[in-house]
Amino acid sequence: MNRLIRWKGLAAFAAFCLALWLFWWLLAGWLVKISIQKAATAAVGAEVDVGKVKLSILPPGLRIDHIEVTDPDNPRFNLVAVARAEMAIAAAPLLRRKLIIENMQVQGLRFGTRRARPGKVLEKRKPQEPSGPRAKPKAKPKTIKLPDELCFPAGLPALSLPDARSILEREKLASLEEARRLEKDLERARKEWETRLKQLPDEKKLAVYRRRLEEIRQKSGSLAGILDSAGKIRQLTVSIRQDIALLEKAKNDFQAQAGEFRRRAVDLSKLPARDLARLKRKYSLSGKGLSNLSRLLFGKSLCHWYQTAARWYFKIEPYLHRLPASSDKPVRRQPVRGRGLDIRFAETNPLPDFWLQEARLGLILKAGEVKGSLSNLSDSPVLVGKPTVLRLLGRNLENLGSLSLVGSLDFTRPRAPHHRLRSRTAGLKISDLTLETLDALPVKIETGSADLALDLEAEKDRLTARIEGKLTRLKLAAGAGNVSGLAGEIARALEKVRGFGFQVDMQQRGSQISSRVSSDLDQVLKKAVASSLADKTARLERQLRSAISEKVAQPLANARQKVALLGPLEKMITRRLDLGNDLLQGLKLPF
Amino acid sequence: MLEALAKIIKVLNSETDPWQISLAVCFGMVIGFSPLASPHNLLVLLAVLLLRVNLSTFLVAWSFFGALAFALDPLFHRAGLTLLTSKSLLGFWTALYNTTWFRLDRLYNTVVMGSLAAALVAFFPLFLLINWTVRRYRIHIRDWVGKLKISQLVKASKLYAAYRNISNLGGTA
Repeated sequence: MNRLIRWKGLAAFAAFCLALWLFWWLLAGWLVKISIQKAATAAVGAEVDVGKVKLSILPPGLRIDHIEVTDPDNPRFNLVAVARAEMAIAAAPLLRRKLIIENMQVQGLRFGTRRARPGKVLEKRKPQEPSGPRAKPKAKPKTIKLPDELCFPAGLPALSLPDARSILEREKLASLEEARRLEKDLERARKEWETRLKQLPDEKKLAVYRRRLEEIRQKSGSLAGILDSAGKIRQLTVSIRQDIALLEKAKNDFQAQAGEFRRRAVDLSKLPARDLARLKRKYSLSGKGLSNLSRLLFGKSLCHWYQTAARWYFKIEPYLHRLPASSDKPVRRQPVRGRGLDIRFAETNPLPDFWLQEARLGLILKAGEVKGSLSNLSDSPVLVGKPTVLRLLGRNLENLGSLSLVGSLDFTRPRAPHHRLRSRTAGLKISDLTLETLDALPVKIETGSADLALDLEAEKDRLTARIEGKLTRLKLAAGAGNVSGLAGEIARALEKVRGFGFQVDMQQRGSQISSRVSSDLDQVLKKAVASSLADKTARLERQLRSAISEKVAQPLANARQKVALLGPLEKMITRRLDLGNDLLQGLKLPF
Repeated sequence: MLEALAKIIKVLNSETDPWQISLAVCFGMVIGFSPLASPHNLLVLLAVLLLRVNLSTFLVAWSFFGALAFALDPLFHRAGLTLLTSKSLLGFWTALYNTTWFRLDRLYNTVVMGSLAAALVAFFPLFLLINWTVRRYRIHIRDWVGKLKISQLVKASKLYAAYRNISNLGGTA
C-alpha cells in the first residue's frame, strides 16, 4: 500500500488548500474590487471607482464602500454615488454560479455629486463604414420627436399682431388662386369651342341643303320626276338628320361645361369670405387662441423637463431590453475568443443568474434623506415571475412636505412588458423660480407651494403620462415691468394670480409624441384680456377684408367676364340647330 | 529548458517505477489541458500528491501540456461543442447540468468540456505508451544516452550541480 500511497501528500494538499484560502483572505477583496470596477466601467462607458470591498464566506456576503459612477455626459460629476452597499448572498446557488442577493442595504445613495477629479470617459468605438453590396445601412440614432406645439409654441401672435398687408404677403388666398384657375380654364374652353364650331355644320351648309330641296321640288312635275325626287329627298333627309345630331351633341356638351363654369363662378364669389375667416382665425386674438395661453407660457419648461426625462430613459433603455428569454432548449451564448462557448440546458428548478431579492435604499437628496426599497431586480424576470418594484418615501424634508414614488418594471411576460410609475409630491416650496417662457413675457415664481402628481404607464411601444399640479400661495412676477399692450395686460393678470392648477397629458407611440396642456389659468388670462381682445380682433378683420377684396377684385371680374362670354357661343349653336330643325320640318315627299 | 531536460534525464535514469513516471505525465496532461481555475484540477492535484507519482515529471508535463493547450484550444472548443450539442446526449447533459459539480466546474463550457474529454480519452493510451517507452529506454538507450556529450555537458554544468544539491536536500520522490 505504502508503495502506492504517499501519506505525506495529504499534508501537502492540506497546506496547498490553506495557502489558497490565505490568498483568498488577503487578496479576494482587492480582486473583486478590480473586477467590479472593470465590468461597471465597461457597462457605463465612464470611470467607476470602488473604495473598499470586504468579502465574507460564512455566511456569504459582500460589503462595498464608496462607489462613484462618473456621468459620461459630464465627467466632473457622478451619475450616482453610494456610501456603502452591504449584501447577503445565498450560498447554495452561488456554487451553481448564480448570484442571488437575499437582502441588501444601500446607504448614502446620491445623484449628481461633484467628483474630486473628473472621471475618465471611455472612447466610443467608431462603427466601421459599411461597404460592398451586402453592407447594411447605418442604423439611425434613436431620437424622439417632441411635438412642435409643446417645445416651439407658435410665438405669441396674441401679443403682437401683424398688419393685414404683411399677412397677405405670406399667405396664399384660395379665392385668388381659384379666380386665376377659372380664368385660365375658361380661356382654354373658349378656344376649344371655337375650333369645334368650325367643324360643325354651319349656316352656309344648311343654306346649301335648302337650295337642293328647292331644286328637287321644281323637277318633280311628271311621274318619273316624282319617283326620282322621292329618292333624293330621302338622301337629303339622312344628311340633315346626321348634322342635327352633331349639333345636338355639341349643344349638350356645351351646356354641361358652361353649367360647371357658372357653378364655379358662384362658388368663387364665396371664397373671399372664407379666406377672411381663415386668416382671422389664424392671426386674431380669438378666445380659442388664448384658451391655451398657459401652454404658451409654460410649454418650454415642460419641454425641457421632458427632454431630461427622455435622456434618462435612453440611458436605461438598453439595459431594459436585453433581458434573456427563458427556454427549455439548449441555448448557445456568444463565445469570447479563447474562452469557449457556454451551452445552457433546461433546469429542473430554474433560477436567474442574477436576482436581487430585496434592497433597502437610503437616498440623500438636497431636501434630505428618502428611504426606499427595490425588490426583484433580475436578469430573467420570467423565472422570478414578479415585477421589479421601486418604492421611495420621504417626509418632512427641507422645502418639501412629502415625496412618494412607486415604480414597477414588469417583464414577466416578455411579449407584453408593462411598466408603471406613480409619484406624489406635496408641499413643495418654490422660490425665485424663473420659468422658461416666451421672450416677450418673462415669468418668475417669487414664492409659492406646489403639489405634484405623476402617473406614467408604458406598454410595448406606447407610453402615456399625466402630470397634475396645483400651485398655491403664489406670488408671480411677470413681464419685468416693461411690457405693454396685451402682454402687459397678461402680465398684470398673472401678478394677481394666487393659485392655479394644471394638467399635462402626453402620449408616445413609437417616435411620435402628442401632448395636451390645460390649466385653469387660461380662464383667468382670458378674462383679463377679453375687452382688448375684441377691439384688436375687429380691427384686424376690417383690415383683412379690405386687403383681400382689393387683391382679388380684378381676377374675380376677369373670371366673371369670361363666363359671360359663353352666352354668344351657346346662342350660335342653338341658332344652327333651329335652322336644321326648320329644314327638316319642310321636307315632305311630293305625293 | 536545461533544467527540465536535466530533470527528465535524471528521472529516466533513476530507479523510479515506470508507472510513477507515466501517471505523472498523464496527470500533467489533464491539469495542463484544462483551464487552470477549473475545480476538478484540485482533485488531480490531490491524486498527484497522494499517489507516489513523480513530481518532477508531473511539473514538466504540466508545463508542456499547458503550453500545448493554447494551440489546441480551437480543437477543444469544437470537440466540446460537438459533445454538448449532440442530440443523443441532450438528456444526459441536461441531468448533469442540474448538478452542482457540473455547474461549478463549468463543464457546460465547450473549452472546459473539450479539454477534459480529450485528456480523459488520451489518459489510458498515454499511460501505456509512456510505460512501454520508459521500459524500452532503460533497456536499450539509457547507457547510450549517458555517454552522449550533451548528457555529460549537462551533468558537468554548475546549474545541474546546484540542482542536484537542492534535490538531494529534498530527497527523492
